[in-house]
Amino acid sequence: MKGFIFTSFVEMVEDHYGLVMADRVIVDANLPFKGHYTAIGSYDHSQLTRLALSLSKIVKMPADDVFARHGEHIFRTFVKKYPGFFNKKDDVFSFLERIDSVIHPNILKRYPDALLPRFDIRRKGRVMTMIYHSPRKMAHFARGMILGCLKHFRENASIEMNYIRKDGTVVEFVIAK
Amino acid sequence: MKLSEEVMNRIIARERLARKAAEKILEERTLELFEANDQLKRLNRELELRVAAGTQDLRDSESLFRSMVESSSDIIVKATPRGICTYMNPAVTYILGYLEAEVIGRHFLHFVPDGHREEVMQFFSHQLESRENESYLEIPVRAKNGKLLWLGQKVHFTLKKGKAVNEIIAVAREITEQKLAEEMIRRSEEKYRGIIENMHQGLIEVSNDGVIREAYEGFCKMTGYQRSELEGKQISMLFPQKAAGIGPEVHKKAGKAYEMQIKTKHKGLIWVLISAAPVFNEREEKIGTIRVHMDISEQKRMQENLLQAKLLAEKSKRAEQEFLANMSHEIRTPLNSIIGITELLTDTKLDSEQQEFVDVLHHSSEILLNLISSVLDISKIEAGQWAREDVPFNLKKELEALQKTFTYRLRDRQVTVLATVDPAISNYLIGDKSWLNQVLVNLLGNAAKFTEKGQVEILARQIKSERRTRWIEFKVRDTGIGMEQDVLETIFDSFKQGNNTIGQKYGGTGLGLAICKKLVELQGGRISVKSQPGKGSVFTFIIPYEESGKKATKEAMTDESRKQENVDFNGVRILVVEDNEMNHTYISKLLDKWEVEFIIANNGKKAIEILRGEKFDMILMDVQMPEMNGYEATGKIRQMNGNARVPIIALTAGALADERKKAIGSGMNELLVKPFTPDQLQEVISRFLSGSNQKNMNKVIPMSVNKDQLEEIYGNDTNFMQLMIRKFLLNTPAYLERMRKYFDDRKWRELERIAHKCKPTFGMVGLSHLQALVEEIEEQSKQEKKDVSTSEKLLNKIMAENKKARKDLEKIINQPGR
Repeated sequence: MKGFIFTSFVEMVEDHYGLVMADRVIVDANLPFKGHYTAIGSYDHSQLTRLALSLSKIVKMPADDVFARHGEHIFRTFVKKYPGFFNKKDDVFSFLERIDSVIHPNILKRYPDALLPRFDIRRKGRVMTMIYHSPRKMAHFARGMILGCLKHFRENASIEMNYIRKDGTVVEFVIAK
Repeated sequence: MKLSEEVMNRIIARERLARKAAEKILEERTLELFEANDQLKRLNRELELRVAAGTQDLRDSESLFRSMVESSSDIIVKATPRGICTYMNPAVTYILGYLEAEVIGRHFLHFVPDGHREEVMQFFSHQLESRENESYLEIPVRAKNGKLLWLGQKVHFTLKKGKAVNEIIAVAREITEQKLAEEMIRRSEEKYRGIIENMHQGLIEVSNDGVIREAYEGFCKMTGYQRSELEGKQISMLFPQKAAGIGPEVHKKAGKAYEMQIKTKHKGLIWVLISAAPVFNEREEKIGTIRVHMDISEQKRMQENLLQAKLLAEKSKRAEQEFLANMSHEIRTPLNSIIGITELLTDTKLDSEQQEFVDVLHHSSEILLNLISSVLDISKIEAGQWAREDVPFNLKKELEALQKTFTYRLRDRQVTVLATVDPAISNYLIGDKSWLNQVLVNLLGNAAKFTEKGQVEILARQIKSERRTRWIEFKVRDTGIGMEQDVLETIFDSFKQGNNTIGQKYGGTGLGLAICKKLVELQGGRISVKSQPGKGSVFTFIIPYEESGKKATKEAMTDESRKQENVDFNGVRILVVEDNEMNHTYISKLLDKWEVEFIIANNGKKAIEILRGEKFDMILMDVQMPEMNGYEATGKIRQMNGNARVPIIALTAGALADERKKAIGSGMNELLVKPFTPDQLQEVISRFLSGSNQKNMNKVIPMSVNKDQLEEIYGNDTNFMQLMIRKFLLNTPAYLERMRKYFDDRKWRELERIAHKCKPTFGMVGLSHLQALVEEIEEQSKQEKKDVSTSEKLLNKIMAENKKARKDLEKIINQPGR
């Protein structure tokens, strides 16, 4: 898993809970190394799980929500880092539609070995169905992204998650405005 | 919030480590990038090289194809799908004469002549539509010089993506010659087909094994057989039945044509001319023959007739010639003797009267000979075989001689024979003396025959003179019985006499006048007659003669010379081969006189035996002898040793044109026709005796003696000449004495006679001027009115000249160099 996921997690913790909390989360996570993540490195996915669990234990937040928070944060980071992806005429749906076709390919340019999810998107009026495909099983993370997106575009919508595969590799999101 | 130092240190440591890790990753990434870049660069270069190589290959290939196209001798043209030319190779200029500028941008149909454009257009449109990739068409095009040429053209299209036609490529070759050849063959075929189908001559095709494959209309018509009766049958069905084993009679003609007979259905056998040619298949194997038959029955018939006629004519001719030859010999032989004896008579002692008679006899016998010859010769004349012999002759002399002859002939009648010669006529004309004599003898003979009393006159006058041609008009006038007008019309035709009774009453062959006419006309003259019954007739003819520059000396002296007296052939050995007794005598006498040593053999065989043992200076060989004739004998002699080169003189009675040829051909040197005069024999002998008597005459001859005359008479025979001169010196004084006596006694007749007699002797020794003087005396003696003083002067002159001449002659005799 790409380093920046980890660095952004740590940043999220630092931003929300402070440096000390961040330090504690890292120490408690019992990582096999010192936890000096760099965005351009690659680290094992299991470390993220440890970190998330570590945080979840300390602040007593459900892990799923940790992931969601993470997702949101990452989205906010993206906005700052790649303003080019966002144009004025966009709305949530039109942006989301561009994930597979525009956004993810650009990411892959910079991080060729990133394992990015694939989305099948269907849009019907005010309802959009996104089917998440990924071996990473980071559906909640994705939820967080979507939330972040909604907040960015200042739109309200309900998000419904349906596990098409129980193992979480295929999840349907129904976003209704 | 306060951070404990521990926490702070951990945070900072993590940051530092994170940075370091990031730096490391960066380094690695940069290296990766670099290497990737490097690879790319290498790849790039490789690609560039490959591209360059590829481009070069392409260029080379392009260049190769370009040069192929440019140098091709075939026309290569590119055009748009619409037909506008976009490219042409140099072959276009070479073949059609157009330059690029005249072709590029033009529609290709521009070059196709008008009558063909539509056809060509349709062809190509069709090709375009049906997408046929390649097509071939022969099209006519007009070259720049206006000539029409034919091209065999292949056209194919190239396509763009999406199957639209990109461009048209045409490759064309000039086929004008082939086209022309095709055309010619086609026309030729048509022509021959037409000919064969319309042929009248019979054409059939026969296979190798003799089966008639095809018979055409003409052949069926010719033979009367139907096609079905011929086709499929053996050719031998047409051959006439001959004895088994022998093929049909075939006559090979020139080239490959041959004549033979073939069977017809209804007409029996006909003669045909067959021309055959072999027929070949495509593999050049002979599969049979084509035969053309031409019916030559008619020609064959004519051929046969002609052949018969020819054989008959040849038989006739041969018979005629044999007759002539035999008659000639039979008649001339006794004549030979008569003339010869007459000559010998002149050598015996005769008084002047006797001499005169002998002269007449001699002349008559000569004329008789001529007469007989004319009977034999009319056919020669008709056949153009009596050759004209122009010699210098003295017209006056001839006429005088004739006058004498006929005077004698008519001595028992009251008829005077006169001869009048125009003095303007030269003494020396050139013409055929014997023809003239013939004509005159005939005419005078007739005149004599038909005149009982009165006159027979012969007149000659010169009516025209042009350069050297003298037109002499002769008239033979008589006071005889004359002729009716209607008789005159056919009088000159052969075998026509005055009327049917004349032959009985007067004799004659009826050929005389025909001969006269022929002879006169052959010399370029013409003859005519005027006559009145009871009053007489006059025959007139005109002949042109040339005047002679030279003097007719020899001939003028023939009638009374005695020159043989002094011939010296002492010591010469001659072999005479002759079977006739009379001729023996004649020749012996002569040779004895000439003191020749001779032997006579009476046939060829004996002659050869003699020749084996002895040598001779000359051989006189009669041609017609028993056992071995003269030609055979000559042939044998020529192959002997010793006498092979001896001169052999043929003695022949025949006067036919080929006699001489035959004689010379068999190896003889010369021919003497019997009867020959002693003169002629002597001349021939001296001519052929080898050189001891050949002497130059280039001595100084004194002036009064005519050198030319001497040379003409004697040639190089100095001996003989000197002999003659001696004789002259001996005899002449007596003559001159008598002349003087007669003159003194005024015995004109006698004077005339003596002058006439001795006149030629002067000529014989080159004293032509004296001869002329003596002649003048003779003339003067004849005249009615005498001018005595003139005559005396003349006589004195003669005496004086003679004296001078004598001296000169003595000089000649006494000159050295015998």
